[in-house]
Amino acid sequence: VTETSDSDRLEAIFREHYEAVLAYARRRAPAEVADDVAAETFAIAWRKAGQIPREPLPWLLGVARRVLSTQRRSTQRRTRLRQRLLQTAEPMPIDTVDARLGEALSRLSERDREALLLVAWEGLAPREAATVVGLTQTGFSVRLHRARRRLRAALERADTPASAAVADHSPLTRGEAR
Amino acid sequence: MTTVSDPVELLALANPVPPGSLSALAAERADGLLATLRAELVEPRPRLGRGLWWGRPAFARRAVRVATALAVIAILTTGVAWAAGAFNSPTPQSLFRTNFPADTGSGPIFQNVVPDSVKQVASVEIPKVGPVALWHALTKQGGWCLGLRLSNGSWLGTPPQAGGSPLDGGGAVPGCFPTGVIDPGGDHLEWLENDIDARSVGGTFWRIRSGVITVPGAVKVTDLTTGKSTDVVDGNVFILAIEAPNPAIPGDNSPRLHLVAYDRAGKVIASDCRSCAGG
Repeated sequence: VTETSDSDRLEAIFREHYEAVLAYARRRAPAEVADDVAAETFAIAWRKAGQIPREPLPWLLGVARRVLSTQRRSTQRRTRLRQRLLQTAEPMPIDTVDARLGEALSRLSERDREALLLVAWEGLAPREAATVVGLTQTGFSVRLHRARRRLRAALERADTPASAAVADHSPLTRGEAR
Repeated sequence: MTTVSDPVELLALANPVPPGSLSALAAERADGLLATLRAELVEPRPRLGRGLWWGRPAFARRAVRVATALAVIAILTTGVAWAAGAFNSPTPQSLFRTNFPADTGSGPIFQNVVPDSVKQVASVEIPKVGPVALWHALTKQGGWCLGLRLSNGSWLGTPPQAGGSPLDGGGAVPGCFPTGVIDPGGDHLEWLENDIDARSVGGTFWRIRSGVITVPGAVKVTDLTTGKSTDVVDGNVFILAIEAPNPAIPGDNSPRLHLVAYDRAGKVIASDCRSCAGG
């Protein structure tokens, strides 16, 4: 395998998946941070070309997820420069979701929320989403199932029009570990 | 109101970035970002074909044994540096060449570094951490680049997987900026800030400000809040380290710094805050 074909493959991967990675990041962070995350994700992909699997998108989203996590850990300090540049800070995308739904989502653990969003927002199949979060397909399916029920329960508790829109109510299983 | 039977469906309807909504933006940016990635110094390495060990001649097997032994020694003796992420760190040339564009809200501003201008211009000593080197470069568009590097080769302001340091307390990402954009509220004194949290190695928290003076004649930069000063080097560059309380403590009790630059006659000729007391 030549260096040229590696470069060609990377370029093809970039052209096919940059939008999806950018969208993933923008659904989870303000635009200027998300843009950096998407760029950094592909910079890492460039350095780790040999590790990219045949199906690149879940791998790329997994990298983006870790980059985002790193960014969040030092957001308060790291974004000071960007805030100076932009004058005003943008709200997090999740804050722009319907208030009732946003509140219900915020009651879930990060792991549950991410499982739901990978399927609902990124449109990934459980097999692909499992790769993003480093689980087996079975493990992810269990997490997704539980997360779905917890979101329903959270919407019920919210007692709002949004929760009334959910027709199928099923409570949390008693004693289920969070 | 839409009735849905599954909360996942409800979530999908509330997607803040619906599928396809970034197509135009992604297409617009793709070529620029791809050019930046292509220019990355650490090019994708070709995968080496693996020959059969027993199929090689005797001299080749000996050579492989020697090479393996040397590799093991090298790995053992450089383990600490590896753990520190030093080998993941880009070179200064690569760092500045592949910097991602600044964005002031009106779109990305690309800067192309002048390769011959990349050099280390100064350093500051941080207790328990060691020297922090200031690297500087010029850009073809008349801008400037700055990056702070620890002695193990890692860069402040970069994530660990890209060669960052666990001592990084947050701050500016190293890179290149157009002159006059980075600090629009200031007056000819453009700066970045990076913090070092050295508590894990028995040290303290430090704020490091580095930057450029965009009018000629500056010889000294002083923080009027703490009284700390530093000399201007290489014509217009400075770096100033100030020990500070940990800003992670609620309420951020770090002092508000105020930098001014003096000329040889002691006159203030640049400031990071035109309307602040003292210049």
